[in-house]
Amino acid sequence: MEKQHVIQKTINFFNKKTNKIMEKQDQNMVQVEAKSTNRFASLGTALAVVFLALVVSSFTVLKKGEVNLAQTCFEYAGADNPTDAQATNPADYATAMPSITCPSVEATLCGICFENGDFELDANNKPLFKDPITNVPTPLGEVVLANWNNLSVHNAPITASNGKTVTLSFRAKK
Amino acid sequence: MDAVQIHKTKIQLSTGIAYLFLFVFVYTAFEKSVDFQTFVQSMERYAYFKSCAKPIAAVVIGSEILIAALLLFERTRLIGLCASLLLMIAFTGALYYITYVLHSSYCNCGGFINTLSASQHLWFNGLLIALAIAGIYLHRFRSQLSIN
Repeated sequence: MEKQHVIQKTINFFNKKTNKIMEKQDQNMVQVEAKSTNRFASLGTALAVVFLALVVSSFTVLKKGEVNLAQTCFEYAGADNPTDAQATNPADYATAMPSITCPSVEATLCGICFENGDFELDANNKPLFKDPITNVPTPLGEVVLANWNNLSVHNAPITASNGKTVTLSFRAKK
Repeated sequence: MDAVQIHKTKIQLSTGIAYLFLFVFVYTAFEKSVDFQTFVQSMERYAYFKSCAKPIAAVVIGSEILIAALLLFERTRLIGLCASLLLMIAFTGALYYITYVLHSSYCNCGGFINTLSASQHLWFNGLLIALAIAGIYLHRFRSQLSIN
């Protein structure tokens, strides 16, 4: 009788141990699963953020393209707050591009955009402001000079006396 | 609120900050890449950068993409946050130099950031630096929680 009791006790002891080990294993499994699920969820959210950023920036790029595709622009590459002579020097302008990026905050020249017409270019394909022989400003040059400090015409299309249209773009004040 | 819940909230905040940087870097890197020529030209404006504008532009975009990739995965997120902090400090230093030393304010930083004035841009960068520090600080609570 006593022997049977000892055997039963031993069996109970091993059963308890086994149950504890099983419980621990189950807990580990739950933790591993939770970690794995959490990692996948985190990666999924991160990828969603990347997708959102790409959509937003694509929208901005497309919107910018729509605005400027019909234009030909010359970005001003000279010094800040240029003098009239500097601002009308073709060498201070970059080569023609379909668009330029300027914050629309009035002050310093960012560049000029021609909206239509066969505008004048110099030998280096830079915008022409002065007649190379007489050194007299072209009508376009006069438009630029005349509106240099007139905030109301900033980023608005201006039609010069020769019928050409130009937009003066400005960047932030220093 | 118990300690575990507080820890979880801190971790969620850290993850949110990482997602914010992920959004900003992907957004600006894409914008700069699409209009790469304009970005290079905006750097060539300054005599200091003129000779090496193209490599610098490529490095800037490359760094943003690399950091975005680091922020994408949980295992590398802390490194990504530290790199974000360093890059934001570098950007802010460059912006300060352009604004107060070169007396210019032309920045082709991508998207809506271009529309900010110099001082607004500095404040924006300052906020991002503070958030990066907070993100790094809060990230350490991840290791204190067994399930993350």
